[in-house]
Amino acid sequence: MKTYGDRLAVDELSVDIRPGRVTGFLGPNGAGKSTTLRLVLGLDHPERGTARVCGRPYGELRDPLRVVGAHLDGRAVHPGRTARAHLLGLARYSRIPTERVDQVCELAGIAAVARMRVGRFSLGMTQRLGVAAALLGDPAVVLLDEPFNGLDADGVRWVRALLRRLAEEGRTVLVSSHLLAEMAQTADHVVVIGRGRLLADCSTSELVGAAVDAVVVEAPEPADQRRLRAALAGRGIAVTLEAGVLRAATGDVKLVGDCAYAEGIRLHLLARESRTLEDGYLRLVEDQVEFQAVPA
Amino acid sequence: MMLDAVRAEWGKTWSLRSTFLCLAGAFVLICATAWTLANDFLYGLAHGDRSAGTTLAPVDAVAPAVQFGLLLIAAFVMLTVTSEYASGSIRSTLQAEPRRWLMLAAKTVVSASSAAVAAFVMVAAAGELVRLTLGDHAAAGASGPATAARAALIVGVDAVLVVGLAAMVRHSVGALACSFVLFVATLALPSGVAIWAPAGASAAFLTNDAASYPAVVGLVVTAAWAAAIYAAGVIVLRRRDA
Repeated sequence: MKTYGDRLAVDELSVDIRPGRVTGFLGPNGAGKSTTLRLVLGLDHPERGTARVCGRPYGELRDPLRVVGAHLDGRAVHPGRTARAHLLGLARYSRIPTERVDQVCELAGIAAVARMRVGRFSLGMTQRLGVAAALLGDPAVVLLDEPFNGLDADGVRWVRALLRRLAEEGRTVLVSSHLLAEMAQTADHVVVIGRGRLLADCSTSELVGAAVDAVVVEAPEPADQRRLRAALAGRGIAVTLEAGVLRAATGDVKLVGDCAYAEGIRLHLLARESRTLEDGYLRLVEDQVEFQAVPA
Repeated sequence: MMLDAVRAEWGKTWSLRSTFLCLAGAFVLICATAWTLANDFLYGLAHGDRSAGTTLAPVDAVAPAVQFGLLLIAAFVMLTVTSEYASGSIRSTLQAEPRRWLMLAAKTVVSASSAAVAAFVMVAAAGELVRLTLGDHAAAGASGPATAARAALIVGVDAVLVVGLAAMVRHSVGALACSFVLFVATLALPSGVAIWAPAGASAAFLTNDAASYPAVVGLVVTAAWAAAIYAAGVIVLRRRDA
């Protein structure tokens, strides 16, 4: 458990992240994603409970960079130092050879700017440097906080491919992101938290499946709307009616169309709303959003 | 493990421009202040403010200069800690070395030894400059190297104090303000009190002044301050979130 003042940041969060797959770590702003990662890395201390990596608290790992590579959101580099000097400083702590520093610079595509001061880096280059630092110790566990932020299309593709490759190599990969479309493509498994609590721990497709498909129907006559609603309800399909638009909780467009035809109802619209990771996610976090705009 | 940490912190310290700027600034400040004080003395002689034949011990021009320059050396020492918090790089550092006391110890070794060597060079140079300026009016007394060695020792101890202070305060301006209070402002206290504060005690040791207590007590008093503040810094560092 972790609190900031009287605000609960993370509570009773218990998840097991498995190797060999990319696990997405999702949640609205302020849900506790970054705090969770900081607890895992021993940067923050929990008031209660423990965070362990490979069965041990982070602080007890020998040469931790060789076990866990992490890139946290935001800058974690002195702007006056060159990228190479930054990586070299980290490498020496964990007795990682200098050649590896040059290797990860190549890998992250920053070899050409490695001797430039980081203060002159763009956000995308800083992200690449962060990923390079995470891979420095060739770790079995990789934690990346919002790695897609600030990257151009080329960079996004690079991170996506890198994540896949790291997972295929049998590493444990945990990626936090608020880019749901991106996570739907990249993550095999998702962990969703809200207000510091676990909301879901399932495969990406399961979370997508948690969103109910809907068929949207527009009938011009209010009487028809009510009739169609009753007819569908008779077949066990939940229907909502809002501003003249019926939304039936089913993925079967044919069934809804045939039902309207049988009742002799004139329709202006009959369409299927397909589900996405976003729908599944939104359904899950709707009640959990901490900083929600209050309608005026 | 300590050696790896020292190697890492050594490289980090000397890969920053601020290190060179602070130390070069301290060098210029100490030499210029000492030279000015020596010149003032000669001016007083030439205008009859002082009786002919009076001499000045070089250490009396160098010691006040060191007190001045100490703040810039303190800034260098402090930055090895506070710049990590200002830039967020502390998170990278603590990922590489989660044993915080060890990380701080490595910083202390690097910055205290660097500060000590720098102080030796600066004081030796300033002493030589004063000697040359005074010519025949330089009093015989403590040799240049002896004063420089005393400076190296006391500045090294002061550096430990500053590292502890920086670990507690974390912000550059706050840490520098606290350094100013400890190393300068306490000189304004009644001398009976001031000699027990870091500024007065450091000065007593540097000038080998046995007026209040044996000069070595000045070193002991400063070391006690350093030990207490460093211990508090380690406790804060371990308890607080990074």
